[in-house]
Amino acid sequence: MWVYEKKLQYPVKVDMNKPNPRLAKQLISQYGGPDGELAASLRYLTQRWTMPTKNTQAVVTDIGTEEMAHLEIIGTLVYKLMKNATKEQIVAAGYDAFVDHGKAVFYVDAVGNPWTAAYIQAKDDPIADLTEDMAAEQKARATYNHLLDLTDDPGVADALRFLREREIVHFQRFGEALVQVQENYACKKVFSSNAQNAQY
Amino acid sequence: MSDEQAAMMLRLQQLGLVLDDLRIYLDTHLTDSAAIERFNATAEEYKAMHEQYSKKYSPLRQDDPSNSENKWDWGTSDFPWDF
Repeated sequence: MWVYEKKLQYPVKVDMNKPNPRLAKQLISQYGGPDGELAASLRYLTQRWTMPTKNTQAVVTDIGTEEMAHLEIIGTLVYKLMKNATKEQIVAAGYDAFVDHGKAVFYVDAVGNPWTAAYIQAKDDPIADLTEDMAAEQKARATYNHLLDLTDDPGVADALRFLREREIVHFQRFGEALVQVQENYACKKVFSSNAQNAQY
Repeated sequence: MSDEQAAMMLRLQQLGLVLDDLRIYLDTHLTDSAAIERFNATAEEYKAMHEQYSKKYSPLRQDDPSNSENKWDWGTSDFPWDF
């Protein structure tokens, strides 16, 4: 069960009198792209059932939930940058997602590919899953770096820096969870790579 | 949104982020008493601010009561992208 709050996790300050479809088109990748927030959230949340301990289940639940809040921040950035965009600005920016989605915020990457579950993984193996999750956080951090290279909008940059920082924190937590899972295996004297067969 | 409401929302965002950050820290540091104490104190502060905000302005959470009996507050108040 989830409960919604009418509150963004981090304040988004974008001047809606300065629409920017080009930047919106780039940011949308962190909405529906391969290393975006939808992929992050759905990856962690579907790993919950097969995480081996209460606290690793808590880690993927809580980080997966926070990623939903990040999805909302990216959606808000895109919405605010598109809301007052004119036809001329949309054409000039090459915002061709307009054909299929208008100004709706949709799950596509920067070049228009639709989101796919092929972006994510759940292996019923905590070593594989937590390692995947750590890589995912680094890929998201790198994407935020690329987006920061491309924007000079101070409000957008502020939100992107916050989101990039959270990726670093999540990477740290997944790393700690991985070490704890490995230590747990070591205690049980299980040295197999077939980790999911270990009994906790 | 008035300046006063905006200030209260910002405080909720600050307290909420402290909780989000401490929650995942505690998930991998289960016996850090100082962090648990800080989480609990911040949770109390958040709860009080949440109640104050919801009563003064509009429901923050889905399960907050409507302040008006004649008008459904949840369905008539702004979503966060329109603040």
